[in-house]
Amino acid sequence: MLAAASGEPWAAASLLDRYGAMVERLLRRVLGQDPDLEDLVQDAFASILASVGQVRDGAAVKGWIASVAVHTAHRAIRRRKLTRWLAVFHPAEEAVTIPAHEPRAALHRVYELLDRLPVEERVAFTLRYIEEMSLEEVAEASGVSLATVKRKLSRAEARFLAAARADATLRTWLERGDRWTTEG
Amino acid sequence: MDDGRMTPLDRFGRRVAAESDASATDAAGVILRARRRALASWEASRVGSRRSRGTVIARLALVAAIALVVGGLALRGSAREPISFLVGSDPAPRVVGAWIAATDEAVPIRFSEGTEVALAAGGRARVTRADRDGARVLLERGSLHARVVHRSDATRWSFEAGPFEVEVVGTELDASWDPQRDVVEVGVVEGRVRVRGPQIEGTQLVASGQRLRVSVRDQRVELGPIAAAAPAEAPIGPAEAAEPAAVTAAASSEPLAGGGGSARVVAPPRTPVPADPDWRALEAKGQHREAMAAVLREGFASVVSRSSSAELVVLADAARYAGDHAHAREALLAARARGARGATAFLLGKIAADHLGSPREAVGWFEATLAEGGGFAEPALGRLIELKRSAGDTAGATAAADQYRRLYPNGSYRSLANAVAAP
Repeated sequence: MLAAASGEPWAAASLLDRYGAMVERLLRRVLGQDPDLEDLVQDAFASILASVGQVRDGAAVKGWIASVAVHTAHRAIRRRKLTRWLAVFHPAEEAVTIPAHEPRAALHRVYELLDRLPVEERVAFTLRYIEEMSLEEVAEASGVSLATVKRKLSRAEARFLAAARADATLRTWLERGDRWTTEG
Repeated sequence: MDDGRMTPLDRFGRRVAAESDASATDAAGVILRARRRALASWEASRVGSRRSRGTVIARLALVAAIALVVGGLALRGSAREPISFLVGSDPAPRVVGAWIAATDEAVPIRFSEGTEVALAAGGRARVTRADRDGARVLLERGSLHARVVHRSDATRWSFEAGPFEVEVVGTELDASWDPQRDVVEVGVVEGRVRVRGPQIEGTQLVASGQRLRVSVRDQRVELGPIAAAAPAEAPIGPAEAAEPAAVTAAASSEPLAGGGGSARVVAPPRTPVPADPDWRALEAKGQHREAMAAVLREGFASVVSRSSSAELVVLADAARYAGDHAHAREALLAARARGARGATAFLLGKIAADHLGSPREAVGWFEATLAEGGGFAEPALGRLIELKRSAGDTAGATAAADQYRRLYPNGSYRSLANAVAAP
């Protein structure tokens, strides 16, 4: 960390090698399929390299990098929402391709529902349930208190469950244990 | 989390995660390209700030320089200085470990003891050691041409190309490493080198006028004379070096010669470099749409007809990232027709499954990926589980899932494999 902070290229490269996969995974799982994912991963990497000097505690690196990725996701969601609002006047740009087979279609549907949640609730929900972070880790990555995370998560769960149960594909996913397909 | 304590939402989230991971078949590529661009920007910003700091301290440096010159003259001959090096036209010495990329033109690396290395366009390298006796250059990808200066018997100069080490005994050589095909080539213009690495027992001496080519994947070693049509010497200098050096890089992607045991070396064909605009340069900068626009202006068929198999794989990447999957497929098929393997079958499967709505074709390509082996076997097997399950081929999906669990117990499709495999 100190070497990366002091501008050693090999250390900067090593930092990205070690945590790059985590950054990509966090962004993808929070945002869903996004044609700009590669650019967002690059943005997060650039933020990490630009501010690596702020981290003095080696044990805090992973949490700090997760928070950079989450912050990048936050900005992307806000930008996306703004683009969609502007796209009201250009509906053709909103065309999306729904993947052909069932799991991909269901995944697409999950993120359509998540798009309806406020940003903070969506991030808390995805970190807790899709990334399987503890409540404390969600709070650290989101830069908010534990109480705030619990409150956001509670609202997100209620909203998401209500929407998912009203959706034929996702209702099956919710009700069928940990099997992917209909059995028997 | 303990499965017994999982709520329906926990299980649901885990399922979403597994499907998200399964859909991220190019995650490694995404990370690699983002890493490359972020590090390049970061290095560029550091050079900028270093220059501005240099302006401020220039006068103080002048005083210090006078003192150093006086001191240096006094010490001259008593000890050799550690080697430093400059990259391109940047007047500031680079540090060991710095990442050096030649995007659209060759980049010269000049060492203080007189050694000159030209990193060909498209290449990527690092200087991993520089001391009084010499240096070590890691060639991550592409090709280079080097003229090594021997100051004394203690001179230790070497190059690493993938898993190979080239120890320089002589003075002038060219080397290339194609990580996609696991092929190294070393040509010695003057002097000799010792090469160590896979498929080579001990060390392989390559003498003046010889070229060694090793394909790790095909387990083939070829040693012979540098063919008449071998790449010409790459001049040290950015503008002049770009063209011949690029030819060297492309040459390494051509199929290997048959006739195991013979000392035959395939003369790499020279690839005409298209005039303005160069889609390769645009693609190297990550400007995928612009690269494809340049290709289409030039004529897709025309570009395909004169591109090497390696260039066709790059062209397919440009098309995929520009969202032009039909052209990506054509480029990949053309690359395979010229001998390319590796990722091509997997990418064709991915395009067929995800973009062209042809799951049956996709299954064929993923099975071909498995048959060809290599680094894409794991995601290909994962995709086969998914496709066979979706097609209602329960037995096929279960067999693929069982195989996946056996071969890749910690793979990214393990959740799906666990769910589909036989109980």
